[in-house]
Amino acid sequence: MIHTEHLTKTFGKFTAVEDINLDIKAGDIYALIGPNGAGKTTLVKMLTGLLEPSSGTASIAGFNIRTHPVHAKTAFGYVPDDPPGYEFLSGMEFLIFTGRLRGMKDSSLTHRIGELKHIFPVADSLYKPMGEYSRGVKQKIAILAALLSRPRVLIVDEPIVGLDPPAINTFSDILRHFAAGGGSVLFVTHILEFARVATRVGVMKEGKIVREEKMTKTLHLESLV
Amino acid sequence: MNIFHTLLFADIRQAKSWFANHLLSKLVVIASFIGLYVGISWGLMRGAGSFFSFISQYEAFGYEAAVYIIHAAIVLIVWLSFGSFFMLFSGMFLAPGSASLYLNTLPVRSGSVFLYQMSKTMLGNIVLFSGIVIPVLWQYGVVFHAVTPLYSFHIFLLILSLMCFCAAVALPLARVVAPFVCGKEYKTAIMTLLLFFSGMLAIMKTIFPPQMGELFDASPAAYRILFDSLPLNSHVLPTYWISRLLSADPVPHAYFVVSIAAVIFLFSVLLVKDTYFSVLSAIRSRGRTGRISQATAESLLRVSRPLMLKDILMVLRNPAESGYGLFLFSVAVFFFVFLRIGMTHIARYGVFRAEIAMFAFSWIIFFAVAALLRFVFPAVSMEAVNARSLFTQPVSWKTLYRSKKVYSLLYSVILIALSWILLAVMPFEISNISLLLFLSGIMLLLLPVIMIQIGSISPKLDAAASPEVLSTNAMGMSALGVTVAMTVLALFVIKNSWDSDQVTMVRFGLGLLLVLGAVTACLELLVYRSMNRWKI
Repeated sequence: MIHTEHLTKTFGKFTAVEDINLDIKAGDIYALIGPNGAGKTTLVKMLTGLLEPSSGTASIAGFNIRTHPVHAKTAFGYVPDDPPGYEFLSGMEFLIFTGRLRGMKDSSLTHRIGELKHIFPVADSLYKPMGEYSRGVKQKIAILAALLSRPRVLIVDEPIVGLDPPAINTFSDILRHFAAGGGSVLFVTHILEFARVATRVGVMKEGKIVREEKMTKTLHLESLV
Repeated sequence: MNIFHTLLFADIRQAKSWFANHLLSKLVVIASFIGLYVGISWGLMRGAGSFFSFISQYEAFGYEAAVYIIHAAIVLIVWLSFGSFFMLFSGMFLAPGSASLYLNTLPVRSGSVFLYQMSKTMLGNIVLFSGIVIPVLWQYGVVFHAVTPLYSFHIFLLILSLMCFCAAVALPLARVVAPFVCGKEYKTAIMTLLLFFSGMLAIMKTIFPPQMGELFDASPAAYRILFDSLPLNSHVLPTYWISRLLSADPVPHAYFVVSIAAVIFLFSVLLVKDTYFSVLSAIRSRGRTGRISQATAESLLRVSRPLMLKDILMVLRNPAESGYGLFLFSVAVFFFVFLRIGMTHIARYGVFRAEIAMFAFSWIIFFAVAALLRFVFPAVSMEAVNARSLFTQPVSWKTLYRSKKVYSLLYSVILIALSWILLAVMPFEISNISLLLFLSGIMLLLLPVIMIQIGSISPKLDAAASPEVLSTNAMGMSALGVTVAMTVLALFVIKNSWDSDQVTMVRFGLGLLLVLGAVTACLELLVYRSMNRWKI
């Protein structure tokens, strides 16, 4: 579902991401961990089409993100590390806006929002301007927006920053449920405890994936980083 | 004073770093503003000089008229600067900026930060109004009595005392009002503008009361009684005494009023300065509890252009944006109302009609461009504020660009409708009105599209959060340049086809349409060629 070959990004003489070869299959939850500045967010930006790779390729659900960006973007939902800042739209309007951009029809969109809005207790906030939201509520809305069009792939950058403990548990369940339904998840985190949700973990340092492991209960994540 | 120096130093550093990039275009922008400021001052100086020389022929009557006009100008300046101070001081409380909020978390005295911010506001207003006041008062002095160092000092004293007086009233008012209007900025902006313009109309009525018309036909004895009874000649007005500072022998009352202004100002500052941080905290503690009606969301569901509708909502619901739009609209209406009134007098003589039409047309374009540069030109670049949310959706650049063009056409419709209403009430011949409507229609149909096109040729997606960077980059300058060229072309058409037969008018109008159409087509090609190079 997520496939990269020799993916590299350089900024002048500085190599932020170097020769990344990823293969995340349906049902996988892949956690990318590593210290600050390791290149995790740069990698995610290339996968989501926000940055063009200097070399190599990246594809989502079989679509090359550079040559078929609209098809690739239809296939994934993305939760950015900084929540959306449409401060004068309400959460509900933001969800409708996102659904419309993703080509959803009125009826399915209304039905889907009805399903999703009960995942997190955000019903009270849905009709308030997003500018009044706390970071946590914004993050929850961003998660709901990513799930809106039932994507096949979920890409999440620092997903639990700002979330309260019950929401973190809920989000872990969402990821497991999503993967169990045949979806693929790639998430970036620096909170090692949360990385345990994953089925596989990759450790990034200085732009490279230096180690990949299957997640087990005994895997000592601190020693990997 | 240490805090004052530190804040000043920080501002200087920031100003220096602002010039670090795009130095040339920023210098051009600054030079343009200085040029505009100097140009207006110079124009006022020339106009005032000619006018005062003209009325000085009427000796004592002329002098009285000049004194009356100077007093009227002072009253207008007082109202304008009061409005300006009120808005600026309210802004200090309601939108203090991240720097002031950060300072609020540091062990810094509220009074020091407040005094610094207030000094900047005061200085800005003094510079702004000096450009209007000094040229007029200088010419008054030149024509009616010698310009001595004492007279120059009195001009300075007059400006300072007017500013102190206005600030002294506006400051506590803003301090009291700000906490109550938090979260209701939109309604407050409308109310404030209505109050401001109502006040302005009341002042105009006071300056030009109905009995003024009787002065022209009155006998000398009746003239004296009538003139002294004009509302503006009332001795209870503080401005009456302040204006006496400019007479050849200033009366002691004038100095007394100036001293009162200074005392009120100091008292006002002392009253407010130490409460600045507590007001900021109080406003923030109130929280915003605004809800957006479900109906709006439902209507969003039904429309098929979410990108465009989002843009509209982001403007309508943003008090700063909608307030700016409302301000431009009110100023434009106000300007045309006065022009219309003035025209009724000028129309008697049938002169300068083409020139006035060109002037009115230029002002319409000026207001339109001011709105378009703010709302339309940066529309593509501004999307990058939410790049991670928007550009990861399955939306192509072409879709985004097309949505912006439709968005720009919405402005075309609004601007054309407004300009047609404003132009239709001007007292010109029907054929000339038709020409103006046709030209403004063409200009305002294509200008918003051209703005979007130029803003899309090389959008500064990395500077989306800084509107001033967007408008001062090379593309911002190009947009301004193209607009000026288009306007000059349209003015050329007006000048050459005014009072001509209809065939000539149509020929000129179609010529302009052809040229502007060609410009739009070329820009469209450029946008599509450059779209592949857009970088987030």
